[in-house]
Amino acid sequence: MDITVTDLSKAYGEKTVLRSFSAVFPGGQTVCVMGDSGVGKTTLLHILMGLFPADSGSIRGLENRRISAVFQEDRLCESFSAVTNVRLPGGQGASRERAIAHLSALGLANSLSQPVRELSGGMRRRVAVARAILAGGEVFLLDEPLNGLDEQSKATTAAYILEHTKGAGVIMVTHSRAEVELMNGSLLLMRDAGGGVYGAGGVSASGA
Amino acid sequence: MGRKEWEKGKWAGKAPRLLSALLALAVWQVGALLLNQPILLAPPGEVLARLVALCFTGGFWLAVGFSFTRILTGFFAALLIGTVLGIAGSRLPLIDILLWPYIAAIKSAPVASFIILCLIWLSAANLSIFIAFLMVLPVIYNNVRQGILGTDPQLLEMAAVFRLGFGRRLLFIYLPQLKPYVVSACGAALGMSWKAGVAAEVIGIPTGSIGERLYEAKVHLLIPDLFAWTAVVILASVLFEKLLLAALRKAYDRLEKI
Repeated sequence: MDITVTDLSKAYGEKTVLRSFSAVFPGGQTVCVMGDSGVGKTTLLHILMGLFPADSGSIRGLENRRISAVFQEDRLCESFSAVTNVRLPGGQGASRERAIAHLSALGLANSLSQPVRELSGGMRRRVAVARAILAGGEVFLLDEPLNGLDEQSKATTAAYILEHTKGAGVIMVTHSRAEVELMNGSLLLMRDAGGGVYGAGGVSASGA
Repeated sequence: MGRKEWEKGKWAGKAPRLLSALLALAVWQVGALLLNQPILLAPPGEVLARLVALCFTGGFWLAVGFSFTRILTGFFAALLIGTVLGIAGSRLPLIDILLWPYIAAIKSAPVASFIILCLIWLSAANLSIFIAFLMVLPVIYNNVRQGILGTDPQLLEMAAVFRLGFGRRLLFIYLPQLKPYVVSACGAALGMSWKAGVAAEVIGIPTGSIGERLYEAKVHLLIPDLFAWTAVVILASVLFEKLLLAALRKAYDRLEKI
């Protein structure tokens, strides 16, 4: 099912971060959202996650659908291990064995039991990605999931995400065209309010 | 010298503290010798001898048991109720507002006023339970409430997106967040519970309590007894504080290894 965003606007006090943004995210596809810093990419994801409402506009296609997410920050439970963090939202389906298999697939087989506060930035990022994948969902909202990873880890992690999100809708914010290629996704460019926004690669978008 | 340099420097560790304690004992001994009035200041040796002698009397352990069980009952009741109220107060501002006058009154009013007032309503034997409870409650309430209010909002957003139930939020977000607050509150409140509980016993004079022994020592000017019983209270308080904090740390270690 497509996710249709119509005339979405959001302001923090005097500062408008999203102005009359409209786009259609085709169901079951990966859409990579690119744009300058401050253009409202993360705000858009947060509104789609339901963290706060838009000031105006509408969203269709997310009703009663299970959402999973990688946030811009890792947002891990610092004193717990990678395995525990990954299993946290997964419920019964996230067995210890599955968690270990997922973390191992991302190259974390030797860091399963350490508290995540002791892991490097790149390792923590991969734990956050594994948590989102193991949580499962019909829509994955990923805010720079490959941020802080070296080139090899980026490729491994992108392949891992693609493998486990088949059939689901993926909206991924990124700053890198290389990551768009790794994710084999459509590209949606967001531009600042003044100039309007356009889409490319099969994704339609308008507004700012 | 800053705090960090102090902790890392040659004054760190247990040895300097032990030396400092020995020095304080020496000051006490010299003071007692110079004063030469055991009725005003009993020397440490005499207090130790009295303490050892007391240990071999049946009444000693009964008194320790009497006060210990009551004060700790009050402490744990306050720990439980203060935690529940702290959680409620952090989530519902109305509860915090409604509790504010009571918490402020308990924190500000002299403990002796509460003791005298409560003596009218409660039996002297159970007074220390309530007074210990009363003194500990605001500390636990405020710490738990502050701890929960200080929870990282980003983690709570993560919990909302992943639809984590209350049990998981409690185990993986709130309890780790509360760790420093609970440890600090327990450390501070346990000492307070002993001070207030024993003060309640000294005023209420329940038969067979440490407070009664302290009262008798005061009335009969048994200064070595007064010092010895005071040492018992300090030892019991410190020992239980260490046991409780060790148990808390162990519980948190187990939680983090889930």
